[in-house]
Amino acid sequence: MQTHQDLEDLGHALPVLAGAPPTAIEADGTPLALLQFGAIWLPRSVAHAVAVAVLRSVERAHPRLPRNLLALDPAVVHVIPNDLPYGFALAFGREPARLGVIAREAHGADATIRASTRVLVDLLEGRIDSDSLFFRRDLIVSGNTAVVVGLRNVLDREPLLLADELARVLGRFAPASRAIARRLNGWVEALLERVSAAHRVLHPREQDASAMFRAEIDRHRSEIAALTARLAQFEARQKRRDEKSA
Amino acid sequence: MSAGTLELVCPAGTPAALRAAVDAGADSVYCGFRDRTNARNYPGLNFDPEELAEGIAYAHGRGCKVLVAINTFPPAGDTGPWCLAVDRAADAGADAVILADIGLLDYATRTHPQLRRHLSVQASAANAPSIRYYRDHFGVKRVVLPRVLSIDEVSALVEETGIETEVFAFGSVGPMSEGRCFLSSYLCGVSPTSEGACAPANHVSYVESDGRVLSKLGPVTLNAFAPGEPAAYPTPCKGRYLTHGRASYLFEEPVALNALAILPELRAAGVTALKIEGRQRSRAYVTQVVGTFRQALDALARGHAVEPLLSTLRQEAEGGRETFGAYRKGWK
Repeated sequence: MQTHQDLEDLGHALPVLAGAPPTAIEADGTPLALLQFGAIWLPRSVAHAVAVAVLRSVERAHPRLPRNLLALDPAVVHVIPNDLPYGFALAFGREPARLGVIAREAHGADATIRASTRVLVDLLEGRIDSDSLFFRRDLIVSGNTAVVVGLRNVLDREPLLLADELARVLGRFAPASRAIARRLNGWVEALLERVSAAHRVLHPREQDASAMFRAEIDRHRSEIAALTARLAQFEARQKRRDEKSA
Repeated sequence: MSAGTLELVCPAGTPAALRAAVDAGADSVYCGFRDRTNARNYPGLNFDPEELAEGIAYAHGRGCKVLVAINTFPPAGDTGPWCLAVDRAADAGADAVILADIGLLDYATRTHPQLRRHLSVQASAANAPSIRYYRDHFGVKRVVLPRVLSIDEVSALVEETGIETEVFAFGSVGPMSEGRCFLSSYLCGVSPTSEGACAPANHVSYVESDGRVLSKLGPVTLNAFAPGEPAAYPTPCKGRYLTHGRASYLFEEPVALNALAILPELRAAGVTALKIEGRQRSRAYVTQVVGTFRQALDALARGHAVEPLLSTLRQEAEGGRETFGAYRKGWK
């Protein structure tokens, strides 16, 4: 099992890269691209330092967050994005929180969360509901569920925006990072579109049939719900008539 | 809110969820303190007194009421935390307290006579004599009805009792033994009725096995989900049990109540308020569900149909399925 000490925070001594006032990065997927760019191209020690700086910055901007993390039982949670080459370990509870970058196969967590980077960022920013993801199996949790529930509840109390947090950390470098990330986003989107187009060419029937099938099911569901509601109204009306005539 | 409209009562597990509910169009929000005095006692959830006061200020500033749920049952010799919770709710300026225990109702009536009292669903009052007893002895202004009643039965209760009724409109459903469910305590010693937590997360685990995910409560495997199969909460009532060699949902299927399609009937039945379940859910859920119901109620008030909204919330539903629950009593 990992401890707070094991997650010796490499970036603790590094100052936050401040200098210019924080510049918000638009919520247009740029933080996601920044994350992916950082994960792929930055040395792990630098990524680690950035992760630590982001945590400290978040704690300063949201002073209730460290207090609420301290109130939880001590635990280490591994967060493993499906599409990044490594994951993150967050230790919290009774001591100041520690964040570190870990290998995807790392052991020793009390609980592990696995999902795509996009899903994890959306969760952090409160745009999607973790229970709904769980019902759909888009979020995989293993280990001690209480640890994850507690962490989810504490994070969900704060209006976190990764773009703002990254901008605070990057300070005067935020605009340049933003430009790089936008360029990356453009490349990634173009690439995805090409892959998708190729897939459509290779499997046209499957794509069309699947979309049509889903639309058809949705249409039938709506119709059934509407008919059920109308039937209930008729039944209620008939019942009132019966009662009157009786 | 004008006469004939339904009050939208929304869940707030955290201050952020409270703000989300208010912003999405709640008429009232309900919340609880960070302890076992309320039926959603989960780690990281709920309000301390300072957060409650801030939340009330935020809600009142936007014309929204705050109801404080203190709806578990104090054990013998330990009523202090429950009485303190009532005092704190009153001090913070809550619009009402939602209570279940008869002794606590008595305490609130004597100590804070001006504080409005609602009867929690946990009290399980489902017939007219019972509701009238709470009304007459403790000045209860509103009863939250258990999810065991058909619309006709709700309508009859409204007529017979003459007090406000609040009914569930969306959220997970259990085996409908509100306030009397100790099922999870057989597996982990804790229940929603006593400690405010059903199948507490520290007893829950998920294990991958042969491509399936097993959900376990303590040492007992409750369910096994094949790849792609919608999952359910790991509560004993929604376990899939083997009988005669066949696995099936014996007590309750993973499904969510959704009354969007029957809002006109509930309104016609004389219901005062609609309750959205889910204080344990995230602020994203609150925004989505409250926003959808706000749209539906506004459409209803204008005489428009709500049909276009009917499939909006399926993604938020447990097991990805929805039901009218007891309102239709299809099993009769």
